[in-house]
Amino acid sequence: MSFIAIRMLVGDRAKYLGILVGLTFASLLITQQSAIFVGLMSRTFGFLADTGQPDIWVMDPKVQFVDDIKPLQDTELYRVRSVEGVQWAVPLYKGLIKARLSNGNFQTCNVVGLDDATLLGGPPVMIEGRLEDLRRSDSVIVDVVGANDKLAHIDADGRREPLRVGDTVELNDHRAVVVGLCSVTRTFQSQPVVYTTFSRATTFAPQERKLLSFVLVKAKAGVDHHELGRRISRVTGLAAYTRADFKEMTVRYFMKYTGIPINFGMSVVLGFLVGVAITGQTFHSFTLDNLRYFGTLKAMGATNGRLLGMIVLQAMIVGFVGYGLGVGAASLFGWLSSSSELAFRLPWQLMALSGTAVLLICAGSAVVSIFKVFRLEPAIVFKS
Amino acid sequence: MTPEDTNGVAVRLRRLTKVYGAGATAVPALRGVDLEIHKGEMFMLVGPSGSGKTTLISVMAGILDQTDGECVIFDHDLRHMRPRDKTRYRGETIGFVFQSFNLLPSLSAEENVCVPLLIGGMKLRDARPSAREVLARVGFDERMMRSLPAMLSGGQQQRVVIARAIVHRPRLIVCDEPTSALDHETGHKVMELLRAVALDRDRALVVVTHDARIFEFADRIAEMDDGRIVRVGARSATGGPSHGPTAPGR
Repeated sequence: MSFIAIRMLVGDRAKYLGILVGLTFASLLITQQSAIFVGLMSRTFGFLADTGQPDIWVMDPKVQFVDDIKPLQDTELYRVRSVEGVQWAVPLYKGLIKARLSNGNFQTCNVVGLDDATLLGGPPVMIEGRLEDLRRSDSVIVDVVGANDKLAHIDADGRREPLRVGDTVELNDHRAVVVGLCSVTRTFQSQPVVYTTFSRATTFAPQERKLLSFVLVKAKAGVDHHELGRRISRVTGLAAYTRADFKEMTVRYFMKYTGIPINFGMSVVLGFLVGVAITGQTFHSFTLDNLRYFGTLKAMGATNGRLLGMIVLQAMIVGFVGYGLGVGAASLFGWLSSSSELAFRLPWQLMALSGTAVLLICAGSAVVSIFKVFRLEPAIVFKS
Repeated sequence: MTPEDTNGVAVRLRRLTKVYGAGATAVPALRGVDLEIHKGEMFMLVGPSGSGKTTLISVMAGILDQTDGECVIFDHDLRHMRPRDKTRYRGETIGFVFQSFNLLPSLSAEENVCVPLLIGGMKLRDARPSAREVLARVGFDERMMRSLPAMLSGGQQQRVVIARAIVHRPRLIVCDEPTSALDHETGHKVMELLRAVALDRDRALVVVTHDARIFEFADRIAEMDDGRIVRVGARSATGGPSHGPTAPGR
C-alpha cells in the first residue's frame, strides 16, 4: 500500500509541487528568520563569549546588560581582591570613544582597556601582531572587520584602504598606533572594537570621575562560582555574575526592551502560517481530489488503518522533502552571507524547531484529510 | 440446467430494507426486498433511476448497511459481522466493476490490477505476475499493461477494471452500469469478456444497468421500482449460458 500512497502523491505533480513549495517556504522562513534572530542575540553577548578567562564579572548593581556601563570607583578592585576564594581580579574598561578618520569623519569605537600588567581579557584570536605589543606606547589592537571597513582610509578617489599595522588613528584627540589586528565576534551595534591597556583607555576616554567598568575575577580551584559571586556581592555591595548568568541577563534585556523578538517572531509565525495555508490547503485539496480513489480502496477492502498509514506516509514524504529543501536553502543563505554583516547562526536546536513546525503543519494537514477519509462512505464509488 | 439447479445460492436477501435519514426526512430506498442469486449466474438489476438498484448492490457488496432484513453472501450474514471483519470479507469475496472505472490515474494498468492483491497483503513483486496473467486474458499486450489509464480508451479501461475485479478470485462480482460509458460495440465486447473471464460455476455476477442492449447477456433479470423487486425474469432452461434476449417477468 505504501507503493500506492507514493504513486498517488507524486502522480499529481501540480499538487505535489504545491505542497512542497508551501513546506519549503515555511521551513525556509522559519529557519532563516530564527537563525538571524539567534545571530543577532548572540552578538549582544559576543564580547562576553570572547572574554573567556574570568569566571565572574563584577559590576555596578544597576547594570542591565553588557553594554550598559555604570562605572565603579578604582578602589572597588581592591575590595574584590580581598574576598575569600578570589584567585585574581583585574580591571576592565569598556566604553564608546570616537575615532577621527583620515577623511575627517568620526567613527564610534568600542574601546576595551585591559589590565596593564596581565593583559587579561584580550581578543580571542590575533590575526596580525601580538597581544604583548600593547605594552608599546600609544598602541592599540583593532578588530580586522573594523579595520577593513569602518576604520579604513578612504582616498580622494573614494577607494577604501584598510587600516594596517603601523597606521595611526585618533581616538578622542589622542594618537593611537595600530600594533595588531584581531578577530572578534561582531558586536550588536557593529562598531569596530579597539583593544588597549586599561591606563591608556582611561586617557582616551572623556573625563569622568569613575572609569572602571568591570572587575574580572578568577575563582580559586574548587570554589563554586555562584557561591563566590554571592560572597563578592555580600562583601562589596556590587553585582557579581558568572559569565553564563551575565549572558542570560544581557539576552533577557534585549528580549524585553527591544522589538527584535516581536519582529522576528512575527516573521517566524508568518512562515508557519504560510506553511499551514499553502500546505494544509493543498494537501486537503489533494485528499479531496483523491477521495473517490480512497473510497475505491475502501470498497475493495482497505481498512481505515491502512488508509491512515497511506496518508501519514504521504504527509511524511512531503514533510521530509519540504523540510530538507527549506533548511538546505536557509543553510545556503547563511553560507553565502557569512562574509557579510548579516547575523546568522543556525544551531541544531533551530533545525529541530523548524522540523517540529513542519511536522505540526504536516500532521495538521494529515489529520484533516484522515477525518475526511475515515468518514467516507465506500458506497460513493457507485456514484458517477 | 439453470445455474440455480446445480450450484446453490450465492446471495440471499430476505425482507431487506434500507432507509436513508430519519424521522420526517427519512427516505426509504429498499422496501422489503426478497431475492436469491445463484452461483454461476449473471444477474441483472434494471429499473428507473431512484428505484434502489445501486443501494441494493451496495448492501450486497457490504459497503452499505441495511436498515433491516437479512443479507447473506455465501453463507455469511453481513449484518452480524463487525465492521473490520466485513471490510476484510469484502476484500476477499467481492470484486467491483464501476461505471466510471475508478482506476488510480497514477498507476499503470498492471499496477491497478495489482491493487486488490496489495490490499490482501501481497507484495507488489508477487502480485505482478497474477496481474499480468489476468490482463493477458482480457487481451492486453506488454505496452498496454504499462500504460496509464489516461492513455487507454474507455473499452480498454473497462477491461482493466474487469481484470482488477477478478484478479483476487472473488466469489461475487458487482458491476454498476459497466457499459454506460462505452459505445454499443465496445459495450458488447466488454459484456462478452465479462461472461468469458469473470463468470464461473462458483461465482455470481450482479450487474446494474439501464442499457437494454446488454440484457441478452443475463441469465436472469430483476426489475426494480420504488425500492421493490417488481419482476424477475428467469431464462428458460436450455442448458449453458444463452446470449439471447431475456424477457423480464415474474
